[in-house]
Amino acid sequence: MISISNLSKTYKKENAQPVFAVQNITLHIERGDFTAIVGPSGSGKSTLMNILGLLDVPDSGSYQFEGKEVSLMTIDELADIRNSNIGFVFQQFHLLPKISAKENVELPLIYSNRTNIGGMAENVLAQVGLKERMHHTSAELSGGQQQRVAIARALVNDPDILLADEPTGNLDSESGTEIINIFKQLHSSGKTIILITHDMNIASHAQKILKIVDGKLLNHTAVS
Amino acid sequence: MVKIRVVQSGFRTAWTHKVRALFMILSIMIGIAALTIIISLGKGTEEKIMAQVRKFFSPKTVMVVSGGGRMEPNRPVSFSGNLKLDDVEEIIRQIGDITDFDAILPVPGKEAQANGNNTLVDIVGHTPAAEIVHNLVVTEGRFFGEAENRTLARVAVITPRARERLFGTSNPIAQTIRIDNVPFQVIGVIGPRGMDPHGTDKDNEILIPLNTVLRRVANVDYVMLAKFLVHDERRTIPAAEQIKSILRERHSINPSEENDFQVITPVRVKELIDNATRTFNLYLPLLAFVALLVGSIVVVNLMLISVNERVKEIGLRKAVGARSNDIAVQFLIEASSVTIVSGAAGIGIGILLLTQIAKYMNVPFTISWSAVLICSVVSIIIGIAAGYFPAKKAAGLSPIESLR
Ligand SMILES: Nc1ncnc2c1ncn2[C@@H]1O[C@H](COP(=O)(O)OP(=O)(O)O)[C@@H](O)[C@H]1O
Ligand SMILES: [Mg+2]
Repeated sequence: MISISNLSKTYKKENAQPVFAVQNITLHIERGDFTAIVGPSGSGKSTLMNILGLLDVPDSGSYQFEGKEVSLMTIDELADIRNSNIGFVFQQFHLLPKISAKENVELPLIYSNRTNIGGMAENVLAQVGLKERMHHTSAELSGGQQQRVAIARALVNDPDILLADEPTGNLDSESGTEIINIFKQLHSSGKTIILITHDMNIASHAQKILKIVDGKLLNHTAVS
Repeated sequence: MVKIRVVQSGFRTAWTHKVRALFMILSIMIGIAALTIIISLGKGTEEKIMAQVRKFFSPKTVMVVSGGGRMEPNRPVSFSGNLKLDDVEEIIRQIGDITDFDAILPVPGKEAQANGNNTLVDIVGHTPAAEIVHNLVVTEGRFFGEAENRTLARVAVITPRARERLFGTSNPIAQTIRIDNVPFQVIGVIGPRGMDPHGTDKDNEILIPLNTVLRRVANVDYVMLAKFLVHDERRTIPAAEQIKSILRERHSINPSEENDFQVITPVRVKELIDNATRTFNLYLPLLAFVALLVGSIVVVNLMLISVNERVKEIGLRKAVGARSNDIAVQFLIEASSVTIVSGAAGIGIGILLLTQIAKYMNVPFTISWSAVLICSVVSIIIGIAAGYFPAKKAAGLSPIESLR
């Protein structure tokens, strides 16, 4: 479902050394995979994930999403795929502060082409165990709860693939475990999942672990 | 394509930043309220003036004034004595469809005595048709008639102030007034008319048949002005042209010379009024418009600041699938809904204040609906302009850069 080859991205800034954040990465993700990406801080995990999530563009290499070359898509086509085919979960949650949990979860629905969206936000909030807190703003929720709202938002359009960039990075271990359990549950219900972490405990839940160091993919490690 | 849910969401998010919305509303509302008030007051004032003018100058009137130059309000009239009664009679003969006419000769500042009182009054010679031509309201007695004008009868119709000064509260009808020791019999009283456009007190006059004034008081053969009523409003302009050529011929004026008279039509009167009301109808609305413009610059800036503050929000919306167009629509809807509400509030407050100001200024309360329309259109245009630039800026941001 995802196929990238020789993907590279370099950050160039005036009066600074270029940063080769992603270098010649080639990888394939099959439908239903649960993949963990691990690596030290600054190794290029987020850069790769943002490209996979169509939030950023590579300098070179090819990226095929569901068999279609991403570099040939218009920005509106990219927006539509982000809306209905990909759910993205950020380390910093990125909830809008002035609106309720439910309204945050409804954001992707605003931009979808679905005709009937009634009850969808409530359903996914129930799925992450937050239905009774749905009228609270993020300031009134704990970190773990905020991340669960963000997961609900990623799920609301029922995408095939979920991308999570260190979703437990800002959480205590107890909340982190809750979040990981949600991802395991989602995987068993058929979702394709790619998750960044530098916690090997969490990575051990995945079927496949990718190690990135200095922007390069080290080796594929299969986990039972 | 505009998604209906994006529009609905824009209407909601317009009000999530309450302080910003409040400042935007204030900055536009004040300008709109000022425009509504000023334009409506201008219309009310003009209607008031027009109503007063119609009393002196109906739409079927053509007036000839002796003397050249231009007649302007508040300029004393000096006349040269070359508009003869014969000229007036010739005009009536040639034009044919004049229904009524009044020729006027004022003799200002005469001493009048009656009942042991004496006071300065303005004597004014009128034809009997003056009652119709000027819509005079006879409150007691009657106006003088054709026979009295022909026979140079010494009869007088008096006005409220002259009456009070000479007769107090006693009945003036059939009493005698002496003017230069010539006795006149009071046959009627007319209602108050106030000041004329030159500032003359029309309520301190004594009206006497024109021929009586010409022969017995002033001993001249000319009048100051003549007013003609034609049978149809559309005839005023052609009649005015005809009068000009009749008088130029009778006064032997060469083609290179100016008229020694002026012909005034309702069109010319409207011009004079427009000049007088220009402050209200042009300069003040311009001032209010500038206020509105400043208000809209504030709104555009607040929207730009809002876009900068909300870069993360825009990035997040794009990350979850908003197209650039959706972001642009959201900001357009936010700006225009706030400005439309401001416009409506401004019009509402304007009308509210207008009821009070109109009462205070003694101007009839009229809402200029064209003003309201203009204000609404202006506020919508401001809204779109205020939304357009920030919306373009917001729509162009890349999702990941905005989220960082
Ligand atoms: N916008 C950027 N501009 C310049 N350098 C960047 C930018 N984003 C990331 N980098 C650099 O690219 C490298 C990889 O960063 P990142 O993908 O965030 O790594 P990770 O997520 O594994 O910590 C780092 O050296 C980081 O400093
Ligand atoms: Mg990272």
